[in-house]
Amino acid sequence: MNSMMDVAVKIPAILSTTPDKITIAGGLPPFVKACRYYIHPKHQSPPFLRIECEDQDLSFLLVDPFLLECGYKPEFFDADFEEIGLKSGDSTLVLAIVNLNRGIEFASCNLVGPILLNPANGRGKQVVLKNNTLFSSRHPLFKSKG
Amino acid sequence: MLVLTRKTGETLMLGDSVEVRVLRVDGDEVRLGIVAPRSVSIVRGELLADIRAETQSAAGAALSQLENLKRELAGRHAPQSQRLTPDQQKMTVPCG
Repeated sequence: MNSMMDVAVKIPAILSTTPDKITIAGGLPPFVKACRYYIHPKHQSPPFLRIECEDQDLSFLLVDPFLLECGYKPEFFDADFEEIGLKSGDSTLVLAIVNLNRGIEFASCNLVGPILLNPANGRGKQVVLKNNTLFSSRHPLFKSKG
Repeated sequence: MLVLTRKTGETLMLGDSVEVRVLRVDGDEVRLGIVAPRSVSIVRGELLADIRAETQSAAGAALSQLENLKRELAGRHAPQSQRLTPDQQKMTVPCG
């Protein structure tokens, strides 16, 4: 990552390194008041997992973006690391929100606005990549069948 | 909203550390140069709106959809599986 801070990205993100509860202080806009999410162990199905909000009826599917065959190389702003308590030498998790709203054939994930997680304290934030022109908010999960 | 008029080459300071300079004006396009500390995030407003809309659209994913995704992935992955170990087959998503 091209950043002043030397924060390692854990690959793969999912499995044992994912905390059960995550707190996203600013929520996932526009759901800014939904901050506490729970990951039930049964809701993990690598490379996918599902998070459920503890405060309201809201859930998301996430994918480990490093397992996509497209060479995901995100660059982050140091301010985003700092906001979730990450320091140089720490590890972070990166997860992308999956959108199935257009049908499973057209399943996509948001690579430009991923969720950055601090596995040590469970704090997370939806960030915008520094190299945001390289990636899509609607990156197709599956190649079209043609 | 504060509204200011600037000419090409003129600047604005936002706080002590962020400088915005008008580099060029061409019809309805304005080219801006920004000098800011590395810690300051600079993002186009339209991108934030796009990410927000995408999150809104993605909300409400049922547990059953997790299985649907898994099944879809397994179905599509078969042709590429030879060069991967069994563990990688489970973990890698072919993408467009």
